[in-house]
Amino acid sequence: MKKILLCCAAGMSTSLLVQKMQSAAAAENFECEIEAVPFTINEPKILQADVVLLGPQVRFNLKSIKERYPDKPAETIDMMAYGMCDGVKILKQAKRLLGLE
Amino acid sequence: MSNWLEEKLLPAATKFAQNKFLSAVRDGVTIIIPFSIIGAFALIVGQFPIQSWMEFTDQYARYIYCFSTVTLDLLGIFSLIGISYNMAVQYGVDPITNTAIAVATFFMATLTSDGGIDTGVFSATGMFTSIVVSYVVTMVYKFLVKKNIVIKMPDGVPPAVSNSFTCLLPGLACLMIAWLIRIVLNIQINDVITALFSPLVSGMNSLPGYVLYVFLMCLLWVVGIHGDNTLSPIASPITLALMAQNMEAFKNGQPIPNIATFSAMFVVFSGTGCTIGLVINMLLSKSKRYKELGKLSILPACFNINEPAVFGAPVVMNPILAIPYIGVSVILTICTWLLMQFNIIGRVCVEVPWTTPPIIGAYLSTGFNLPAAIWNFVEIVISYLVYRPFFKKQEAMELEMEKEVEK
Repeated sequence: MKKILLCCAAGMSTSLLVQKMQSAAAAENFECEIEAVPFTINEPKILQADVVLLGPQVRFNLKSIKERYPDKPAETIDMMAYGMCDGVKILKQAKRLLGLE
Repeated sequence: MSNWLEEKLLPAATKFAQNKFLSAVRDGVTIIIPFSIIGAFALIVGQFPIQSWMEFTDQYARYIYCFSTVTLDLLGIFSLIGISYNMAVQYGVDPITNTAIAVATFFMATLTSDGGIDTGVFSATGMFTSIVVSYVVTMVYKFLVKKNIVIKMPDGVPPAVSNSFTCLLPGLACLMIAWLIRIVLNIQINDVITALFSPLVSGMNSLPGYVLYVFLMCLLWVVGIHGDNTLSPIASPITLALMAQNMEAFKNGQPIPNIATFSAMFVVFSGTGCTIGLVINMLLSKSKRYKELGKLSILPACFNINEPAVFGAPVVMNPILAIPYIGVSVILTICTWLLMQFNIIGRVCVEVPWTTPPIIGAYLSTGFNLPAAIWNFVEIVISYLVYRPFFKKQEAMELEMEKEVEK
């Protein structure tokens, strides 16, 4: 089971995405765990995750994630997909980072 | 213009947001908010505006206000703990040890002249000292660890035991520094630091300063960066200190002293940029995409979350919508400031969760001020009207595109 972690400032706006991504995952029978958290001190969550996706508004944190966890696949979510809560597209991004697509 | 934003502002803002010191302050003060809300809740219960209820609660004041005593009167301590912990995380020293040293150092730095503990600085009055102490302690700790000046135990000693000794020398060094300044040189550290920060506080607590703050916040969002969050290391300690004074005054039934505490419930409500007007425009739109985005955005907007609208419309990197986004925020800031200045509406004197829905949030946060709630409703109308012409232009482009696609 792959774990996808979404991070934004308070974990609120990314939580809007979680459901959309879950239903996208269910539709293609892709088993995964998706969670949204605030970026602030989430070391344990980041360590456990297989892939980390950042809300575009906190994309400046990407550098520090890359520095601290060089092997962790991490990327910023595409702005338009984020705005439209496009679960399919963002799940695709996560799968690409996981090397599944 | 958008070149300037992308080439100059974006890298500058990114640098600012990544700064270790500022990140630690930003992440550190977030620990204050829940406690401040618990304290505020006690105020709401105690001051609920029904005559018979207030007579009733007056008799039981000590049962109610103890919740604000152990929260609001300790905001300086919470900020000390939060910031010193996060400084340690940012600069790579042991967080819990660093926090413990910072607590002792803070007490030493604020001792009274006869060597007693000064409980006055436990509240928001000690906020700025807590920032400085956290930073100094972390730097000293880090320096000593780097130079390997720590007490080492022989190899057989369990790590937990030897770790407990690593804080000895850094702790002693930090205490000596604070002791030297506070006791030997007899300098009132808290007074000096508070005086140093005071231009920043009075700057923020003025109409031009507050407008500048709101303007910058919106401008950062326009380049797609979380403006509120990025500016919070500077703005939060100040507004929290101002808010603490307001809450204290509200508890005691005195006039509310500070105005610059209203942005959350009167400017960035429904999300920064007061995007409720944009969302309503989208809901009424003929464009399929905007209508859908409007439906998607309206519920989050009720809880002051607007990322779908900001990134979906988009406002980010889009001059057409960026103008009303910044414009409406500045207009609402100026209007609200003046209304509060002349006491036409109540000032914000109760910390409520930032996700409290508009109008309700305005009513609660002003300590049950009905004119403030009505003004908040008027603000929604203003937001709708300011966004409308710009949205129409945006919508026309979108409709054209949708037509093309259909063909």
